[in-house]
Amino acid sequence: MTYSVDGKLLSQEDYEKHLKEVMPSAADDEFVINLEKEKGWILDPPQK
Amino acid sequence: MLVKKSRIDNFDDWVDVFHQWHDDIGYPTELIGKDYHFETKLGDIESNEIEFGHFAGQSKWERLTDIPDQRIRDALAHLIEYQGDTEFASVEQQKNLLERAPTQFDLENIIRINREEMRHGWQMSYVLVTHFGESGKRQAQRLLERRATENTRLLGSFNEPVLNWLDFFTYTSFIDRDGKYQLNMLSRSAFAPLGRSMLPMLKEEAYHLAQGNIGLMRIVKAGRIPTTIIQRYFNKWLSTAFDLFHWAYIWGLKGRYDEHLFEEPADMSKLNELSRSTFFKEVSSLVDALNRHIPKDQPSCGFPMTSSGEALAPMRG
Repeated sequence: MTYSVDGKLLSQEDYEKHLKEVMPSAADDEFVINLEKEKGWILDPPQK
Repeated sequence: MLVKKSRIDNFDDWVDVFHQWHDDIGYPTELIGKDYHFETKLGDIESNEIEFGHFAGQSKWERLTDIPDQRIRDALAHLIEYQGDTEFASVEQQKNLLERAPTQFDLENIIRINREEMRHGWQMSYVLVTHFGESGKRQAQRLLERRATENTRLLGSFNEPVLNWLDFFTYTSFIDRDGKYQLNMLSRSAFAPLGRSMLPMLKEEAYHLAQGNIGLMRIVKAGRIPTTIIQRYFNKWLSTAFDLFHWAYIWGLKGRYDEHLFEEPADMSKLNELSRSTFFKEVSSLVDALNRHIPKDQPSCGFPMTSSGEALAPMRG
């Protein structure tokens, strides 16, 4: 049994398609890793 | 590559293998700090009587031989091995981020989190080696032989790669929060050495998930990562966060979350739903707080849930 992230029952074929839409892709990983090299992608931490 | 030591006879032997594991996974131990010493920590349990399950009211078990049934001994060892496995796995998953910490503050935090997860694994290994005879020694050794990077850790969440700092903060906020639930539920175990082990671990774990949540808030407030991408990382980790066991309740090994606050007996048919529902509420309030800082032109974040909105649904059922 396979489900969508909003709880709908999916066929195996639809599930595989769904995963590509709702899980981080290689492009997402690359986007974040590249963004990490830029200043301001994350706020400075709170002062201790 | 497997660690070199072939046999563990006592905890000192296990410690040798632990140091070999650092080398084997390539952890830069110089970052852990010369002043930090791995050690076993035991807290005070609130009751010496078993607090729930079939043996409630009897004295908690101090030794393996106190446990009245081999099936319970096996289940207990299994629980401890799973807990220990997650601790070492998380370090293997995260160590690649040490060289890309956004700030010195984040570097110090990830080092602290890693070394405390290692200590938790140390603690579980101590219990296995000290109390569970030859089989416990083998289980403790296996904790250092499986690898998240080789997909051989015991639970799905702990074989997933953690590839960037959004990944890391999502992991520590959600998966370490799941870990808090596990530790809390084990803290009232009928096996007293396990309960004593949980209390210092819970204190340390609280820091980890707080840092995860603060990190997510810093990312959302910066507004540089589209929330559609953030959502996909939430899906990645939340969909694997529900490996909440319930079958050990009747034997007194693992209670409900905050078991001591319940006055009514447990509904055995709904133990898992209860754990998920409590976790759901906690995560829900965190996501709501993040959503308050998302720009109006971007979709808000949510989490995997059933179409009726009552409980969380795993990606695979």
